[in-house]
Amino acid sequence: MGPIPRTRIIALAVCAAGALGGCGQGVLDPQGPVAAAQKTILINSLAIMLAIVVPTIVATLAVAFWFRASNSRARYRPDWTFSGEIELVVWAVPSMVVLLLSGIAWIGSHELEPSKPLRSQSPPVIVEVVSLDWKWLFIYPQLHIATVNQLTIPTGIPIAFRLTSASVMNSFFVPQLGSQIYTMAGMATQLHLQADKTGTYRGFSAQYSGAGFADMRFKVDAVTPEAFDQWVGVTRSQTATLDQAQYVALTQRSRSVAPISYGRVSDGLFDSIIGMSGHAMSGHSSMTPSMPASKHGMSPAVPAGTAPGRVRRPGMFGKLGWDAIPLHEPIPLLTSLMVLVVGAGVLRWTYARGFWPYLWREWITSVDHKRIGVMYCLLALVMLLRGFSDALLMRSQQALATAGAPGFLPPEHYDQIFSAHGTIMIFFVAMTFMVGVMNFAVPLQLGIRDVAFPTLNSVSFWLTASGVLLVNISLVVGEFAKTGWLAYPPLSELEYSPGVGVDYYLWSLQISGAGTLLTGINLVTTILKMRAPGMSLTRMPIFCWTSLASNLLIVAAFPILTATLAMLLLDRYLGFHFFTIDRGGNAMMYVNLIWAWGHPEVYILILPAFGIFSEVIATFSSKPLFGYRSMIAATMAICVLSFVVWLHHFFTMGAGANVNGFFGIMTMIIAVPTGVKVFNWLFTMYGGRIRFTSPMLWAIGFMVTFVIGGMTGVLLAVPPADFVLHNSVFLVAHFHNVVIGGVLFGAFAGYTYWFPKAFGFTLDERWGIRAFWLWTAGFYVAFMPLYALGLMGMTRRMQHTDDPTWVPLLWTAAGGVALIAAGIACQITQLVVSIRSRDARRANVADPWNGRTLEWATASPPPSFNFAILPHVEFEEAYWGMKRRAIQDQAPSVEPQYENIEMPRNSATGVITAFFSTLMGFSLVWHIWWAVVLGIFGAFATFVVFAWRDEVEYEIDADIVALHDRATRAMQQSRLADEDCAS
Amino acid sequence: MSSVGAAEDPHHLAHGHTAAARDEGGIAPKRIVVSYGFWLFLVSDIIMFSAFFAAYAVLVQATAGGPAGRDLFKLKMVAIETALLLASSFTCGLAVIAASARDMDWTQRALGATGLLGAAFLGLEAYEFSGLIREGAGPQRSAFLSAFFALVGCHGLHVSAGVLWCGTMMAQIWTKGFRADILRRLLCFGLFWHALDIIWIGVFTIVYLMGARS
Repeated sequence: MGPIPRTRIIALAVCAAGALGGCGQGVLDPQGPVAAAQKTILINSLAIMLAIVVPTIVATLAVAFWFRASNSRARYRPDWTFSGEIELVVWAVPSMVVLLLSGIAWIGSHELEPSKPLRSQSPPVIVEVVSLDWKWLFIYPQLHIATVNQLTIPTGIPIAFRLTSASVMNSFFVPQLGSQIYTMAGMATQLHLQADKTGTYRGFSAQYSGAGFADMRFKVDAVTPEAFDQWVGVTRSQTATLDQAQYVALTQRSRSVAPISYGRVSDGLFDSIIGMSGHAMSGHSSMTPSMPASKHGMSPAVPAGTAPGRVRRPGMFGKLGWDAIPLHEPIPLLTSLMVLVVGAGVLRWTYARGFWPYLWREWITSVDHKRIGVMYCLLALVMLLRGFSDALLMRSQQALATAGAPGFLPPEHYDQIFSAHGTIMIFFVAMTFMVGVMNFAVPLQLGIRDVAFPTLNSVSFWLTASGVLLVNISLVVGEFAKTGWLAYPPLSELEYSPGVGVDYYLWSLQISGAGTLLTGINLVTTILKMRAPGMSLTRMPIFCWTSLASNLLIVAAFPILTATLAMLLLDRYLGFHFFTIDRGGNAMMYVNLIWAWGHPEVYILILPAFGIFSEVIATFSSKPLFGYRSMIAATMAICVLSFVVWLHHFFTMGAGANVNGFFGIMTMIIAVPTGVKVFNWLFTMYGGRIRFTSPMLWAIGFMVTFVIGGMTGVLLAVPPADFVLHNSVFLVAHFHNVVIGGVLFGAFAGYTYWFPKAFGFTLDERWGIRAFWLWTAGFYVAFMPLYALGLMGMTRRMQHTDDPTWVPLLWTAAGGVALIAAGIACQITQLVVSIRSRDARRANVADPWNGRTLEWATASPPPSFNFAILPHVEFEEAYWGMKRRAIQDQAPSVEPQYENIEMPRNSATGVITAFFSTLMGFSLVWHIWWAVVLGIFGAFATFVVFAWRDEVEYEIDADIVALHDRATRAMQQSRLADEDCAS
Repeated sequence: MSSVGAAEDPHHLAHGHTAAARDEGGIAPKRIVVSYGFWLFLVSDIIMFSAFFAAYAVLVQATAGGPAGRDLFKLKMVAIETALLLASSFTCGLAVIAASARDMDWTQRALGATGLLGAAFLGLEAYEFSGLIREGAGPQRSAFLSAFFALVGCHGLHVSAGVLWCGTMMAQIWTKGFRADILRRLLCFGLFWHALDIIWIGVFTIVYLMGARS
């Protein structure tokens, strides 16, 4: 398992990216001064970062290889865990790089600020741009002409664009000319570009805007000034006039519109489009253009979910009818049938085997943090399969739907798939898995019996399950959102998304979000108020630290999500105007608020993964974590900084050079503590005795992959670079790079690492290692092409594309997904093989990895009370110290005095609350108001019943505790004796 | 340094053997744990309100040609609302004192007064809202009014939940007496009720006082 194949893959991918990105119509083929400057910035920033990233990757692989346990020439230095000089260097090096890049970011964002006029001898040509559903209108106010879907510009003369939207948000982008900028209804943004060479360039919208988005393309003809004058003359001879009536006709939804020219334009049309704030004029098929705005504003409760003209009077089941079942669409229908059959089969089988009482007693109503943690992880793994099947569909659709081919998914379906993929993968896979791991491991590592609020923990889990259920119901009944995973308004407003999809999205996130918030409160309280005696904060395992940071972020960030989604719900259900186009609504506010949650969310996901890797690397290097204090400082720095970077998700909104520069620099600063972590992991391995188990492989794979993702992330944080990469598949590649290479690899490492603790047998290593290689190779093959495609100007969320040069890369990416599918197959095989051979896998299972933290001090699986006697922590690595002392003293520790233990009783509160919240969510989606009331009342009644309980705890007899503990102790003693002989 | 020495203090934090470090950690008493957790919940709740406050601040000028705060707010009524809520906080404090003195009658009376004052506040707020909607200044009129109704309504929803909780609390104390877990809940209820007051002070100042003046 040498490191060579991976480096070769990276080298190939980087070469491919460079070679292919250089040709075609991408951002690396600039045709104007703005694009040329941006290309220079891209390449320079990349070069600066490669100077540190490449040595880091090489060092990681070299150190891992040299300090492999089987290398007798490597010197084992278990005491080398801190060096002030190295810490200084470790903080200084990334700081220097960031300082350099900050300069580029600040100067670049000022020099290339889109609203800043270009220096030139000749006065600019003014072009007013209006994005419509789904076409582009270009008005030349000085020349009194206009065109649709075709932009003709003179070379060598700056073009001053003023841009707005007649409908939802779009982004005007011509990759070869440089910067893109958002177009937003009711306001004008500005952009200055210039073409230096004649030619025909591709322009399009880089911001997903609904079903016709992929066809929202225009042609840019850059011609000589003489030819331009000629073109103006020809256009003026056209008889067509663009007046109000003609404009209203244009606002009707249409796609793939052939270029149109207007010889005359009524004066002030552009400003009146902004002033009308789109609404009364926007030609929505369900609305006549003459409809007075005031009337519309007051009647938001248009029965949605039904096609216009078929308005059904809501009956007992609200909007719900047989037409909600997708009988005419084979793919969702077959999928949902399969899910139902499999689900029913599982239920039937468990019933036949008599498992129902067991499941109810031991799992569903359990308030044991370990059981709940396991259920979270199981839920996440099942949802990983769902989210991954969405990925399969997307990659194959994009590979097939090129050069005029439609593929097999119509936009209405494809748009649901990418929205569901993002929502599921973030909320119900990454988030759910990390919460599961924290639930399982944190109390064990802290040496305590359960979390602070065990029943609340069960409620949290079941609320998450309720959200999952709602998302999956949307597959069978109705539809899911077609808005992308963050549901930007105005697209997600009732006017543009009248169906139930967005409502499913909103309610499932509100319900599961409440669960997540409660988890955050629960775990912060647990970590800060309940630790084994003697465990001061600086004796806490690093995973507990990262969990603390992550849960603090949950407590601080999730309320923002709740409020933001509540505002959108008010808009959709009660006709409020938070984010609507008309009546003063402000969609930009949604974008700001959602990212004020969304960016901390990224760190909520990655911080626990960092913790897992820290534990795994220390354990399998047989060394304490290097620079423990640095790691804590870095964790908390990330925790705080994550709240001041959110604007980097929309530099292209036109906030101005100072704002963009500030947020760009803050974003880069967050790379410093992250870099510190990478170096500390590297030095943890240095001088270790590395065992290449599969968790360790995931950790090394992560280190290599994550620095690449971090590098492209810092690149995107340079505002002028982001102006050409925003919303491209380069961005898609970047966040998959950090989410797969960071969060998911962390989840898999944690899964393999703690599986024996949870179930009492280890997972099969052969299949685990196969899964690792397939996932890693699959990741590189799937996403390196996307980096290249992004540089070639491919934007995200395209249902079909038209550039033949992209096809080979799209097929390569599809091949990568197939490799990942094989990796998943290996993981399923691993689980099956391990369960079947479980009796042979129980050797040393209490502490199979020679662990260092307290969870390994108890049996596997741990008894419900975790520890017979709460451990007294006297060391910084609690269990490692205990083991060392026992070996040195040559004497087994004295058997403690066992006492009765009180543990919280089971409770059905969680599952019943989830039942009522699912009922409430589903009824809200379909406007079944009586059932909503029933759901709310049911949930309240459940809580009252819970509050009225008299016996909240049960007692475990000291004899039973002793019985458990003696077996564990006997095992530990024999293990220590073995080790003593060995050493 | 022996191997044990290194294991005891691998990170060279140099407090591995001090008595202070040995006493750290440990499991806090239930009362501390519960109120700490509830404080965290209140923090999160206040953050949620801050998002609504931020939205209000962004949209306060977005009246879309409709009425602004100075045209709508009746400060006299808001003053009465404020007085009711502050008085309810006082009675809520009395309830906690009475409960710690194990005085059932006074606990019930004080809690009852708290609930009634809260309900009166809600009644006035409902009256204000319905008046605004009748005037054509409902939440659908403009983004400013959307933000106003959402912020003030969110506080109102919290007070409603508080009144419901207050009633449940009274019933529970009545049937179960001053049990330790019930007293912890009463403590949380008190925290919740006072937090709503603090939020109301923000609403009163930022929405009503500043809105009526500008």
